[in-house]
Amino acid sequence: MVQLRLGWLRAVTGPVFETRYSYGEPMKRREFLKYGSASLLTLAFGGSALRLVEGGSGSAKAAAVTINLSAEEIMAEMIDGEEVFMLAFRSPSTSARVPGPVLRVREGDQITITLFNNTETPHKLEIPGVAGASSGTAAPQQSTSVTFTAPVAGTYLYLDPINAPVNRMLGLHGVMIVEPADGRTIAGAVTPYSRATHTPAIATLFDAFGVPTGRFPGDPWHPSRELVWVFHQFDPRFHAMAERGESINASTMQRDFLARYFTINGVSGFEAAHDPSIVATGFVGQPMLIRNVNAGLNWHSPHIHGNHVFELAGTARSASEGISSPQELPLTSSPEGSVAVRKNLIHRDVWTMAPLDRKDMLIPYERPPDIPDEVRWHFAYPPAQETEQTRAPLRYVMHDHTEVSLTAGGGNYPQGMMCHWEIFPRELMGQVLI
Amino acid sequence: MATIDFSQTGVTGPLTFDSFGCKTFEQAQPDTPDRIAPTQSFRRRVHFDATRKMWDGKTVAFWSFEDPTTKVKASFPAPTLRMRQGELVHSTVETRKGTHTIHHHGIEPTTVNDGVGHVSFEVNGSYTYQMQPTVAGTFLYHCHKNTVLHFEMGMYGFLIVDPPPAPLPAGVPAGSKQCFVGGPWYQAEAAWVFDDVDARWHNLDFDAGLCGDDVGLNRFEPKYFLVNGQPYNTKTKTGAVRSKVKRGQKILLRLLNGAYSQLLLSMPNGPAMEVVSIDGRPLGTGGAGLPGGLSSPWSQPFALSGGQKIVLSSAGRYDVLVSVPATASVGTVYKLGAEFRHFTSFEARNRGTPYEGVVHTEIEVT
Repeated sequence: MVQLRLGWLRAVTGPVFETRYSYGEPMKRREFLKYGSASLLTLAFGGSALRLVEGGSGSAKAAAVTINLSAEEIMAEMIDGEEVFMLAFRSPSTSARVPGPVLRVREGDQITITLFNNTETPHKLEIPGVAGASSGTAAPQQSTSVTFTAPVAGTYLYLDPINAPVNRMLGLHGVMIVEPADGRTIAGAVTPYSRATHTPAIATLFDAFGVPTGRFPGDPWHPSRELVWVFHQFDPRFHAMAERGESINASTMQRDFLARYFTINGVSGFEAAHDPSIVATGFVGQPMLIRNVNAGLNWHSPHIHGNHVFELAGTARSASEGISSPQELPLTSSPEGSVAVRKNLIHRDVWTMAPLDRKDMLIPYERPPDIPDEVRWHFAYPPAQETEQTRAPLRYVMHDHTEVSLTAGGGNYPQGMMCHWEIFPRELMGQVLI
Repeated sequence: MATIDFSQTGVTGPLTFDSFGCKTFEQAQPDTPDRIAPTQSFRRRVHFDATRKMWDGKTVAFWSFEDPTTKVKASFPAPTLRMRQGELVHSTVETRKGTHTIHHHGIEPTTVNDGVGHVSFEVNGSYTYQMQPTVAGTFLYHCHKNTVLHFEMGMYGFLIVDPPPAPLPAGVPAGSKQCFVGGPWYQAEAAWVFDDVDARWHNLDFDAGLCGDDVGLNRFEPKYFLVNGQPYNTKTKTGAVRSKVKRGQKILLRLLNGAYSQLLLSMPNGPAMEVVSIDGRPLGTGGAGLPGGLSSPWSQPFALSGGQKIVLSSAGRYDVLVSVPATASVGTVYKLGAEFRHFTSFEARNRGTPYEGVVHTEIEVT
């Protein structure tokens, strides 16, 4: 077998990033965060760690899980070099960054989160849509705790609700993933959702992934095939006020908000396109779940090239202003903010992310369908000079189509809310480690 | 024409901070890799010549594409690319000044045919994009260079994929068209693209902001609102685009948000309406038996009621089949409302002023 070098395959010869972290002025005791490949990290707790290996066993007993977080002040460097003061969640095993670490827990586990406040203003922790997940307030250098039962499986957002949306906007937010106690369909396909919330459509789709004679090449979805994309925006004027210790009026922020930076998992543009926590990669036929969360104040219209994506689940919301679409309605009358698994799995190339929306989208990793049949996209080594059909991977972009957020610092297109994803031909399976 | 050296493109060339926007890969007359003889060809030439006089007397310039094989100049929006599913399509961009691309939005070919400069190349000359659309539906095409600006400037148009010809089922009137393979039939059609315009942006240079300048492209304050390039008078609520349909017939609305505002649509009262397709993908089992088997048994078409409001995000498409009752009177006008909602406050733009971002379109029963 030909030895393939991954570096060549990816064709990325950009700069190697220097050390990510340095420390700023010691008097402020703030971490200085230079993003680059300081990727968003996921921490697995309790029964959830098992599932990554086993793919969803129904037998594990509920565990008691303790999660320690702290709220910190940091200086973070934006893509154009601008330094912005932020508030950030961290865990003892991660650096402080925005968003905070992804917390993976298992449905039914007893979760205790203790928040230590290492800033000069009070903070608390809340998870909208999760019963009982609202802590007391921690004064500076104090702690607060909250215990709750991990809810039905899905994607959740933890945040500081104080002076909403101010503390969340300054950076105090992160994602909690709840894995199902049993996510398998009746036919046995693994899904990210609790059996009780399965719609016929979800079961049909996930069953279909494992059937090689149908629309898809036959790889079932695997729980390791998922990414988190947290969308956020930064208006540095408010961050500067917070740094100076000035109080920020929530309604003033709502009224005057004018974002200058637009990020996915805290990074944007060139950095997001090279961040392993963001860039989806895989072979044709390996479906990839993307958990989208909008922690910010702006609406977004994420658009993906190369494949349409399935909208699997969203945030249950009651109709307001008469806005409703049948496909947005949950199966049952779910409480506001809970996970609504879709009855109608719409295949989109643009999806809507309202503020605080959580939406699970799935890239089916189909062969990009509009490549001419005659151009049988496959892989060959060495590559012919004049052809693209022997190239791997094909690389596509995902970006906000509310294009204003493709900017950074008032220009610099496309250094905003944009990233890449990659797809390898199926015949390279087993030959390339990706 | 020149064979592409992939190392001089985003395919295998070095991706750096600068290669993303400021110094993007550029090609003049590159050959299309893996070129095959087309069964359908289009040419689209960049122009900077369109203007629109707004209701308050102000004139705004637009850039777009025109079809050099016709005598129509300065088209805005760009002329529709209309093709059939399964055709081998060549779509050629011809630039005039500066670099541009065409991204056929929702069509999914290889990377170099996708029109995104920093992962392939921008074009300073001409390039023929090659694709073979698999699914019938509503798409768009637009320039993907400094997209935040070039899309706002008007460099967009519809791209419609029709299904292969099929025999008319019993009871379907002659001349009807089918939405997609196995899908419903319609007798009239309206393709409506909604746009919002910030006149300040329309005086900027092609490359504004690309190399680090703060040109305020994070600040978008539209005062003008257009449907199909036609300015709507937000003061008098006139200037609506109108489409016609006979009573007892079906009109397919192809709705596209070409704005940066979130579009809040209010569906008309009177006719029965069904969403049959979203983003160029049929809902339900239409398309079964296609190459690639793009059937979607996990989705289904759904009805909309009169007055119902739906959100259409930037570049999103809804295909709504409107059935006009046989009992409707000739001359009846159904109105579809569209509010341009601010992407932060979700309020209608300029609410309470003559520049309020609230427009409507009309379907007239004939």
